[in-house]
Amino acid sequence: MKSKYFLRRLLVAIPTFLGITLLAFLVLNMAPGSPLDAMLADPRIAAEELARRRAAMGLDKPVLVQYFNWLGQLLRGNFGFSYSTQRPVTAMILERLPATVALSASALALALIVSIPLGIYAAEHAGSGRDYVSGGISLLMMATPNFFAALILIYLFSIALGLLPSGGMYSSSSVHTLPDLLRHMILPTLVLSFQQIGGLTRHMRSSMLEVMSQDYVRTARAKGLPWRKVIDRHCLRNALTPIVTVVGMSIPSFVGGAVITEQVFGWPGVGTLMVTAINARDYPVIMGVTVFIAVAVLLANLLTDMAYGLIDPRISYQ
Amino acid sequence: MKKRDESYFAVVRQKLFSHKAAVVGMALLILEVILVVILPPLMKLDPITSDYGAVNAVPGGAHLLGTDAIGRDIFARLVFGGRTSLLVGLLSTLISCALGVPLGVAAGYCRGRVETAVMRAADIFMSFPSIVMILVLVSVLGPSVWSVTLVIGVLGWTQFARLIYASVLSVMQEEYIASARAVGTRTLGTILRYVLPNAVAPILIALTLHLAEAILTESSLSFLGLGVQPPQASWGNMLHDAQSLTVLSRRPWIWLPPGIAILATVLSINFLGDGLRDALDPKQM
Repeated sequence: MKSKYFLRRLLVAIPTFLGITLLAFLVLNMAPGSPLDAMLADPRIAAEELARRRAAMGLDKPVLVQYFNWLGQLLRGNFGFSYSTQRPVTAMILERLPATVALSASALALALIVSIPLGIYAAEHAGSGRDYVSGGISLLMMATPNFFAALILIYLFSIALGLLPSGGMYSSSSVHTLPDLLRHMILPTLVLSFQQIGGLTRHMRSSMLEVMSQDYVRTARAKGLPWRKVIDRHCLRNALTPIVTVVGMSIPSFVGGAVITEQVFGWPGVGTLMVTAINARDYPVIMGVTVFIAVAVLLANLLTDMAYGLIDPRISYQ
Repeated sequence: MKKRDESYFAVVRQKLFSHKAAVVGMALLILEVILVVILPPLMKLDPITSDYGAVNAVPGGAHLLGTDAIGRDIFARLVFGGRTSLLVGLLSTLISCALGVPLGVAAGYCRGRVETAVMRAADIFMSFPSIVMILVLVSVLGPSVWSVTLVIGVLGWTQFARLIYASVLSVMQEEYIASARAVGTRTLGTILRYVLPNAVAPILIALTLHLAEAILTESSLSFLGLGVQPPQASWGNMLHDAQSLTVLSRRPWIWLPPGIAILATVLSINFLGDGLRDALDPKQM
């Protein structure tokens, strides 16, 4: 039963992947300029030679054929070469990946550690002043643009107090130590988790309130269990299951936030690579990063779906 | 029918006005719109011309909020930036609404293949970080107010489509739809007279959600230098200069006001949205 559910989820992911890659391909096909522009402008290259190159690169084929050729290359791990550095796009992405993963993982962990207890606390005191304060803080966090939060934190902790570095990953380019890395990670992690904390706290609160109004909670209380125990044993686990889906759904906005956060802090990750490529009109890199992000997001969605299927015994996918 | 409508909206209005945060949010937004409309002609604000005698001037005197690195008046840019940011937000929200509502209604009303096509497309759009797609599209179209508005608007249809779709599905269960069809009301007539009016609540909620998001997206793009281009002012591109540590540390008057403006606007919209959601929730009627 469960394996069938997972298989179905996997099959849904495939058209999504094709859709996103096709969209990215078409969009960048509309972009002005082609890889042969430099040669077009060169009078020493004959028209026949140009036509031969076009054919060799597959640029004379219909767009859809070009797309499938490109996709075939992608699946073999070949993302093409950067216009500006002439290096393989795959290598450029892979060397940036650890920085992005470290930042995103710690920000997600921080968001969960803060928002789950905060949401539970707000639900337990629903309607009280403490609930309103935590609700207000959540909304404030959701309304603060990533980059503005970053500027304020840099202003406070790097400039005014001089406690933390304002950007980069290491203080020196030759000596890389873990404590140094951690010090550089504090501010970007805080900023990236900010907006997520707001949303997750609100979801956790409403999920908890929903569970607290269930019949089995009333039964548990009626049979004389202390409130603390009812919360811990009956409410918590049930309230956490929908949060798995919420985390899955927030992954796209999380990735978007990472692009901006990395840019503000000069964090050498995939996000800064993307912005640099856009400014340089480096289309192979833009496309490579786009596809890469699409795959990462789809995988993350698939994992959260599966986690949900494992946690919630009521799930059987039809 | 008419009478029931009135009492429904009376209840909604009453509930909305008893929601303090929503009232404050609404008042702030209305005030902001009035200010960005009337201040420029009233105070003869000029956001573009440089005052070379007062470069990086501190607030006070001739320049209420000081000037930036090339002597442009920060207060004037703040007001004109508000115009840009609100305009981009409103226009792109209208575009999303104009695309998403018909698609959502079609999916919920026709079911079958239309439903599958629209909702799968929405899944695809929502499973990808929209800011990344927007960055890619803007890099192709070239950054400007119009490309930013268009791209945010076109990519924002999913939220509307999904909410309206769900609401149409539940409206379609009602008996008055069956009876309208039975007496021979045409499809478009049924949709306009019976389906849409009952799906107003999700449309309003989606409008506030989207407006807040559009303003945040525009400011992020402009902050990265890929949105509204100077000399035209937007709150996001006013913050762009603060990426330099000198501006960030020594001239807070350049970047604090636009940042606070974005924050206050989005917060007001969120408060209003929360109030609307509570007021329109049929479960609490």
